[in-house]
Amino acid sequence: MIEIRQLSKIFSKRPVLNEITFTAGQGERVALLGANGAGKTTLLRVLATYLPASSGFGKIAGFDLFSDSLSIRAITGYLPEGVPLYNDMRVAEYLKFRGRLRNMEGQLIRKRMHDVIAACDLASWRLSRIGSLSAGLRHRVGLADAMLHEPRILLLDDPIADCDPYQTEKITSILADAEEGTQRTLIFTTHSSEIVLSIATRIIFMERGQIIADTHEVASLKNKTLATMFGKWKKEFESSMEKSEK
Amino acid sequence: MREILLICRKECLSLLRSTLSWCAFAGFVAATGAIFSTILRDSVGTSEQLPAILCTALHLAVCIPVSMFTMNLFAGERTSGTIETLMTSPVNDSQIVLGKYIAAFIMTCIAIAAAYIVFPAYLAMAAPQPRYSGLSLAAGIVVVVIFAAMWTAVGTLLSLMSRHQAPPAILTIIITLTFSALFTGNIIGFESVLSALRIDIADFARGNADSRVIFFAVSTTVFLLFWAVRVLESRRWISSK
Repeated sequence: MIEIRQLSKIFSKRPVLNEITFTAGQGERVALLGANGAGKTTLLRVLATYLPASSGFGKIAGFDLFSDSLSIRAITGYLPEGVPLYNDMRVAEYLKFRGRLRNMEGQLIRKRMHDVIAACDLASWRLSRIGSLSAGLRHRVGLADAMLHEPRILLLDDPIADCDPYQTEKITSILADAEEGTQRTLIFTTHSSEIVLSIATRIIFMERGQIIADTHEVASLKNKTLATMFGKWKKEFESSMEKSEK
Repeated sequence: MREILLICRKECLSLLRSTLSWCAFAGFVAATGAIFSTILRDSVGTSEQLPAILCTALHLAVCIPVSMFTMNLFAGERTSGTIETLMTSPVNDSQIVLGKYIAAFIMTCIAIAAAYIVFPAYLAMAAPQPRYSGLSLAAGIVVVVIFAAMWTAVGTLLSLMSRHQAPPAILTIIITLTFSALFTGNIIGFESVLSALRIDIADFARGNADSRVIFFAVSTTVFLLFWAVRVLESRRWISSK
């Protein structure tokens, strides 16, 4: 479904992504973890075709990352960092606008709006102005938007950032329910172990724009904190870097 | 086309919901009235010249709605981060620029129409009642609208180049006012500059349209919009946000 080879992104001569290579199959739920500035958000932005990569090769569902960006956008749902939404619009109005922008037919929009509003528990806020919603509700609106067109790939940049424990649990359960039984590929970034253990089937750790660990053994992490695991992998990565420099 | 209309409709609704837009409408009508009455007070002429005077006033005051309607087009989206959502939707960059540009242009036209409607009300209060040709007024308005399209393209481009809303608004006002005054020959010492492109609105109002001026305005608009699309594309390459 997603195939990335030697992908780099350079900002002002500084590599933010450094020859990233990975593949993610259909139905995989990948958690991208790493410290701030590791390159997680940039990787998602490249996959969402917001930013073009500086070099490398990438294919998403058979579409080239560099030349078929419109086709990739049509099959991808993306929730950017900080959940940017139009504050002056109402929830239902916003979802309708986003559906029409994705070339969905009127009847399909109505059906899918009903489904995602129910899934994200937004029925009481259908007619509320987005600007008046709390952070958790905004995240749920962003999630509803990302899932509206039943995308084959879902990219979520920290879907529970700034949320209280109740909203974190709510969003985690919405995501877990939405992903159950689907063949959708999900890639998300987070700093919370709770959502990783509930949803992810695979974990990728990033550091300085590189993948330093890639594991499918999510269950084995249950008794360890993410910080412990990250510290261990980071140590291994740094010693391997030192060796290669010598 | 569907995507352009969708973005345009969304922008128009956003602008209509904004208090600033209504202030722009009111400011434009008031400024037009002020400029119109000032020119009228200082000039000696016949009532046939009224359409030309009104169109000159509209031409100078149009910088107010243009700057207010364009400043938020991209700078606002970048501040709020919604540009990322928009640019990862299945629409291309030219559709985004055109959708937003058309929305700002439609709103400017509504402002011009509002001032146009208010004009007979100004004159109704005059005694004796002046006589003027409605057709001349319409011809003059067409020129104002064509130039408003060009200034809207300037504002759109400037909004793309800034992260904040105030600098593009101020720059749009400065550029629009300077060039409007230059084109209409209102800056002393600059009468000969751009003489080939000098707009004589009175000429237009008499029905003597200079196609060079129209060609200049239309081609500049197209060029500025093309440039705006390229700037939006380049943002993907040079910006980390």
